[in-house]
Amino acid sequence: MSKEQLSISELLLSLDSSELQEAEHVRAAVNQQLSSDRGGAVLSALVDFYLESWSNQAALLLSSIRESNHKVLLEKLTEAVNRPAQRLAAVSLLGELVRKQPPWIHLLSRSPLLPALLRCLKTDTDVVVLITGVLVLVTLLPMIPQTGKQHLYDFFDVFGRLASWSYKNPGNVPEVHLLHLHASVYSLFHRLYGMFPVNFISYLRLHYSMKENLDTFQEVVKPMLEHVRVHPELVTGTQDYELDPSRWKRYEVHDILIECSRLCLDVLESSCEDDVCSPPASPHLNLTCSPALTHTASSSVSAQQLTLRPAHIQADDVTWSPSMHCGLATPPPESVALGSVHSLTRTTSISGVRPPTEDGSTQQPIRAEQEQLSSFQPIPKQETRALSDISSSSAEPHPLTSTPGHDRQLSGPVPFFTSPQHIRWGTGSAPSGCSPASPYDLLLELALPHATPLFLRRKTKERSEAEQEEAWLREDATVSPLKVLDQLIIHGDHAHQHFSRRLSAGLKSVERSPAGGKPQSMKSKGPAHQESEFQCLRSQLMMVHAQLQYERFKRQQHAVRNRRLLRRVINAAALEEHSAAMKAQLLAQDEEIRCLNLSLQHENTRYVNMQHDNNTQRDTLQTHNRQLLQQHQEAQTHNQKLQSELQECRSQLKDQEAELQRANKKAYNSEHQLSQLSMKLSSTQQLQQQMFLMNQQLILLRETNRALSEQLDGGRALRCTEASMLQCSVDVEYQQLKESDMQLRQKLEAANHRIAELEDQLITKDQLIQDQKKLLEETKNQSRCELKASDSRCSSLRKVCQALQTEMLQLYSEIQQFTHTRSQPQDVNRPNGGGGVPQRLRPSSSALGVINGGAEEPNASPPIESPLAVGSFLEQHARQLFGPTNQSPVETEKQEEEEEEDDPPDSPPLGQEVEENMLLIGSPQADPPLSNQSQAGTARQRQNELSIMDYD
Amino acid sequence: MADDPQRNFRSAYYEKVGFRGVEEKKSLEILLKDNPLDLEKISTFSQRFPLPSMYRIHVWKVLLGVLPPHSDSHTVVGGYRKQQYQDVLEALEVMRYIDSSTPSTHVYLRMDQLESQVLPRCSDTSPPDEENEAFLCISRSMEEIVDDPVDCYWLIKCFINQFHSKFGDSLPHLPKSLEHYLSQEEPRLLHHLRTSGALKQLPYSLWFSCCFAGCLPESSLQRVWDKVISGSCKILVFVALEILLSFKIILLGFSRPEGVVNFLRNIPQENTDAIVTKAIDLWHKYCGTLVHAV
Repeated sequence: MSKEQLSISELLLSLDSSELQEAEHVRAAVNQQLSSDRGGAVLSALVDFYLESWSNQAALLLSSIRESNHKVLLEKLTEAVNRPAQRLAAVSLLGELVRKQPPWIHLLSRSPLLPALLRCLKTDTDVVVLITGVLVLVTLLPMIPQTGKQHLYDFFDVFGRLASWSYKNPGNVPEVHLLHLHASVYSLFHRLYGMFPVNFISYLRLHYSMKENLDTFQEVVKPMLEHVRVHPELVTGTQDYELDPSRWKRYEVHDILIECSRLCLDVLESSCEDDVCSPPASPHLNLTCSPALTHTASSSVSAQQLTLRPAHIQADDVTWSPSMHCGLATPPPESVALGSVHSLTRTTSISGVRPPTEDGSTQQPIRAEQEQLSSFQPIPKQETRALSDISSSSAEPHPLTSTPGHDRQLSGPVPFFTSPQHIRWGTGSAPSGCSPASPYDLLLELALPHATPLFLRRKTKERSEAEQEEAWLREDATVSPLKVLDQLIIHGDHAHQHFSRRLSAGLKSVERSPAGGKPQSMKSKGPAHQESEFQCLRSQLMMVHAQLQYERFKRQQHAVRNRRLLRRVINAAALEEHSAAMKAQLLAQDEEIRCLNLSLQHENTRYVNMQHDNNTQRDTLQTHNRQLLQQHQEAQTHNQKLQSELQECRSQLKDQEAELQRANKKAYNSEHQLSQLSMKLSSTQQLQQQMFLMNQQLILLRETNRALSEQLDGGRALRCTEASMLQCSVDVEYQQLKESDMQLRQKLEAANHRIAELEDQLITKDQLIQDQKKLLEETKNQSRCELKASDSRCSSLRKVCQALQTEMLQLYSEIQQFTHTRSQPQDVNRPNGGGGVPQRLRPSSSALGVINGGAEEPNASPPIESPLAVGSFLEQHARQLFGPTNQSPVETEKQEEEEEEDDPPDSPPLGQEVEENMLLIGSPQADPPLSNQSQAGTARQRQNELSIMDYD
Repeated sequence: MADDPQRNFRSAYYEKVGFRGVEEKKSLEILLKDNPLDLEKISTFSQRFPLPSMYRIHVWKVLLGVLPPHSDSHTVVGGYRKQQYQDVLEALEVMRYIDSSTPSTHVYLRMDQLESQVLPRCSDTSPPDEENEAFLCISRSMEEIVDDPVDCYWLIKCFINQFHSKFGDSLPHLPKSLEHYLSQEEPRLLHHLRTSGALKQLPYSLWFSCCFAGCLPESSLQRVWDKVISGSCKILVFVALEILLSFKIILLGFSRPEGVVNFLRNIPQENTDAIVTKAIDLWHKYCGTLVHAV
């Protein structure tokens, strides 16, 4: 790192070497290192180098750094600005950078550098720093208009402080410096008024309403206010709208500049865009027109034009041009001609110098200055030389003062090119300045013979004008500070001339310097005084330099704007031409349309006529057609009539034919009848003959009949009675039959009736039967239920019986067991205990009896059942009746047996039942000596058997 | 019914006010007026609605076959029943199985044993086994419900007979279905019972064999029995389920199965009515209202 730094510092040392090629080489190397720089070491080294040496090359390099490195640069600058020792250098470096308008310039608004600068402006007391800083600020303001919001009152404070400073002069600085300061404050005033009118005015109102500031206002601010016109924003704008960043979006730097200068009434500060056509601009106009008129005016005029051209272009670009003066719409050929002149001059000029075209003129001063600075001469000296250049240039001050409406910027470059003396002087003093100066020298020399008379004439005229103006200005109480500054410089020039004369008289070169100082203070009194004066001059020089830089920047902006406006003019012209062409086209088309309209009308009339003809023709045809149709209809009706007649005739014909046929038929029939009649006639004649014969016979027969009837008369009455009687009987018989028929019929009816009745009865019976059946079913169900209930009762009774029997058997077995155990001792006295033994015997005997009947038992079993039940009932009842409830089973048993004895009719079944049981148990009984255990076992077995032998 | 508009007009409000029995009582009276009685209809009614207590005994008798469906023969059959009862009672007295000091439940048990021919010998009076215990439980509860001993005996007898003949097969499956419904209603409780091992030891015999006799107070019990008598034993499952659900929190508190069983054997008697009502609702929900299935 250190090595690199070392190499950089070495490189930087040789950056400003007088060897052009070497310097170029070094610059390229530094550029390369800058581009590969990481931590900003190279950059900071470069900055440090500038701060020490004020190297122009370094400033150039710094202004071309990449955007990525700006942060380091800004930090470094902030640091430097905060250090009072390096402040001036840092501020001037900042000015250099700002004037270059690097792409990262907008970032300045956010960096701490701006507040640092403002702080410095508010606190610093060094007037040089202040002026430089203010000019930087004025330059910077249009570039970062949106920062107004944060720092607006800082700007205003700066203005307020500097205004009062320039009035009160607390630092007791030389008045010359105050003039400079005043000029820069004046610029700041214009800038602030142009950009933030409402806020600024309100600030002024606030700030200068205070009593202590009133005199400052009277003396400083009021004159400034006299130089501005009313800002339109003061009417329409508000404080907030003014600070709105979007307001500035469509403005570029030069736009803002022009906006500001437009409001200025001071000819030196304002642009004369608006009032360029006013008479004061006429000298310049003449100047520019003259080369056009006198084409042979040659290079001296062109040289002069050259010097004036930037101003001319920027002033007249939009509103005025020479060609416009001549009444032409297209770009003037003069400018082209001028261009050719320029190119001519360029070809004649020596290389290394830019041609004095638009660009060249802007570049030229820089170039010159660079070359001035390129040498390692001590700065004061160099500056002094530059100053002396300027002051020497004011040997011809007239263009400077006599061209109102031009940028102040011009005041710098103009002397460089207009005055060959100065250049010659410059070349004499500085060898490095030789190369740029010499071509103009040559040019001027070449042009001088022709131009001199014209030039001189102009000069004299201008001078008189300037004198007049000056006189006017002197009368005017409020002189523009810039004008004052100009005056100062002019005075300085006079002083310098005076001084140079002294120099030529043999004074030291050091004493040349107090050229910018006041003439009074110029007299050298001693070395110390000289030293302070020298210092004063030096600072003055720096102030002028800053001012110059500022003016140059403004000019650059104007140039940029001019280019824009030129482009716009060209565009407008093209558009105008285009619109003219379109208009012509439009006219032609209008003509065409009119022709077409005419033909259309013609065609229309023709069409109408034809239509009319057509209509009439159609009408006649239609009427004809109608007539024909009528005729046709008539013919048709006639035809129909005829046809109906024809039909009628045909039918008549048919009728007649039919009649004819009928007549024929009749004739035929009558013929036939005739023949028949003739036949009948013949037969009738035969019949007549026969009738005659018959009549004869009849008479004969009548005679016979008469005779016979006479015979018969006797027996007729008898036969009559017989017939009547027969008739009577028949009648009676008939009556009888009729009656019987009637009777039979009645009988039939009755029978039928009877049948119906019977059928009804049958149906009702059926129904009855059904009902009965249903009833029966119900009753059956009911009785079944009842039966079931009783059945269940029966079965329960049976079970009760069984239980009882089981119980009984149990008891028996117990008794037996008991008796058995007792019999052993009782057997001996059996006869004594007579009660028990016969009872005990009985069952066995009865059992035997039952055994006999046992053969018929299967068949007899159903009948036995009921007696059994009855028996058990009886038994129960008997028990209920006789047996006390606490009777022992043995006693009950005895009682039962007594009952058996008492009740013989009941006993057989009872006995039988008991016997049956006994029979079942019989086997053990038959074998009395069976053991107790076996008996008990058998009893249980029996019980089981009984349960098995359920009758169900 | 439609010819009496006033009744309809009122009946619209009975349900709202909460008198659920009014309409049912009327319709039951209509059913009971039939001759012969339609057992099917009566059992359906009994399944669907709660029985009015004044007709309960009568309906039970009819449904259990103590009385025939023909109302004409009721007196006759009633007489038979009474005589049978007396016969058996006397026989037992004669045989000295019982005396005046014997508790009536034991009397009923002996009578039933006698009628079913399983009367043990007087000498070997073995302690009552499980079946007898169920009988005794049921008879104890029935005795509370029915005043007349004859009716009581017959109802006990027929109830047990019908229960065993009808649901004897499905009794072993009831615990399984209880588990199933419990898993649907409250799986958490089921899990708890299962993990604590109480599931196997739940008092199934008390619940299903005794039909909750001795577990629930008679007022609630008779409503359960209504459903059992009218032909559903599923209601037992739901009553058991509802008991488990009602005492869920307490049951979840027991970790030992003995605690669960002891608690369930002696459940608090306070809100058994609510339990039974909920159980009937659940039963209706799961089995539908018209299901006669066991």
